[in-house]
Amino acid sequence: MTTRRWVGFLWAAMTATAFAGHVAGAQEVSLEKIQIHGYGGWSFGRTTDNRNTNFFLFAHSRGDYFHNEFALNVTAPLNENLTIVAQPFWHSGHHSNQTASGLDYVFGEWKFADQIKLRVGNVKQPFGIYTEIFDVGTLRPFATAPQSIYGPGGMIGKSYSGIGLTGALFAERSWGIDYDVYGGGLETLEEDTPLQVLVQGTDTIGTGKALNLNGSRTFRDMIGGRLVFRTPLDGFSFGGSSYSGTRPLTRRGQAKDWRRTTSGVHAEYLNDAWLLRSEIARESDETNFKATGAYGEAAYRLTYHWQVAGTYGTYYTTLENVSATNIALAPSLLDHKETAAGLNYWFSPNFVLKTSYSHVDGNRFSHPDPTTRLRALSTGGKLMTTTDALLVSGHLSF
Amino acid sequence: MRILKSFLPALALLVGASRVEAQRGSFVVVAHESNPISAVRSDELSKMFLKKITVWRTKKPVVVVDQAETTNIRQQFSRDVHHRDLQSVQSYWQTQIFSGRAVPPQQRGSDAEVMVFVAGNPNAIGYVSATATLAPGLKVLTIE
Repeated sequence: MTTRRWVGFLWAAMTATAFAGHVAGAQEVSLEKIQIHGYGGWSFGRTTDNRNTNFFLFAHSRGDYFHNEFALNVTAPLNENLTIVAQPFWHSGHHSNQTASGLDYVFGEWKFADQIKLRVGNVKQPFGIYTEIFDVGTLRPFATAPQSIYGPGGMIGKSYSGIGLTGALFAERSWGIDYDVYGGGLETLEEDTPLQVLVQGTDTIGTGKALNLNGSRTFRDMIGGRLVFRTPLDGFSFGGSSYSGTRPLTRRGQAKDWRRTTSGVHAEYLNDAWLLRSEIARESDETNFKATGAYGEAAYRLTYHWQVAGTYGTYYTTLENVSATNIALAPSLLDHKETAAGLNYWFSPNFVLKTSYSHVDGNRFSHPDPTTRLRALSTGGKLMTTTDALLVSGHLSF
Repeated sequence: MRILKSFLPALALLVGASRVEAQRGSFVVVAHESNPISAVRSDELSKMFLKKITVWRTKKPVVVVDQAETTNIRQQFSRDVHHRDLQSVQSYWQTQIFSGRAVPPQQRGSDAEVMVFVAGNPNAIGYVSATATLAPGLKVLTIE
């Protein structure tokens, strides 16, 4: 996040605080009311075949010990109506220079009633099950959120910058609805190197210059929403999410802005022992690509401490306006299928040690370093289309 | 259908037993004596302590005070009212916190501290051990 944006967010927070002070008659915020929470974690990943050059998540053939993250969550209820929420984070990853720090979100929320709350600022994007708790390792059974929806395919953003309404309807009844509508700008999390390789073909990938590493895409004039239905079966809910925004001109000769639309449905069931979650989402990036992702995830607590987990996910991309010759270079770059099993030990709900083994088919999210091995495709090189990875991680929250 | 008919009375018995346990068990629910509400439904109570319901039927804001997570009474309350073990409730609050939706209610470490808090706030609700001597300014709410 740039210094300019930091300053902008701080200015917005200060303005909101001043506004709250005016509304509350310059009432001081009691320190007792300010809540500070946080989460963090460390992860290790290693692909099991020493000849395998693929990088998957934080795993590669030599093992990566240097994936760490930490975030603080500060909630300041200034009065009955106004709450300020901020979450700074720090993150480091070794193999791809992913060290970063910034603000996950900072926003002010004005509560008219439980049914209507106005949110202004940089707000976590309400989409599906995991976007709002994207990095919190103590709230999921595996080291990361399912890659088929929350991976580098660009289906979701961590947060939107703008204005939103949220609320809970019929909270006193057994059936209820939680809703969100929002608009503004959105930065998605994506790494589209595999797609660029296929778009550019042998003419340019040999140089490697045109290949982007991990990054984000900015969408403007974005609107979105989510509906979640709470049911009389305690712990079972389902819903749908969608957003659409435009991506500014970035390519010479491009006629107009691109529009990205992503929609999905989800369902989850949680009780003391079981966690069952599933989502399917469709992403359409006008004139560029279409993608579909889906996963199912199940976890069961054998005892207070021990939990077993399993998941299957799939993600498939269809490129628009790309020649069959280019696709034939490495069609596996369009595809991701993942099966994983995990065993977790929970010391408490706030501290967990996880191990999992993943088998991946396809190179959309598991591929070699773009600057070396992917370039070899231009001279007839081949990719290893499967990856097996062992992941070990520890997660904490307070 | 026959199975369903035999299952339903058993289910009703279980639900009824759970309510009785909450009402006559190891804790009582307390509110300020000036609060006109004298009874709450079990599910309503659960939603108040999870901040899903944040106003009384009188339209006044609900101010919840919880017992500390390390106490036995908190575990009992979680089991009887939320029908969840404490671990699940803690996960619920983690989700609320880190999604920026809500933060958990204030906690107090003993019955005496809970009673002081509730006696000092006309909109407060809490729970204390059934054997505790009720402080002045409080009343017990019936769980329906």
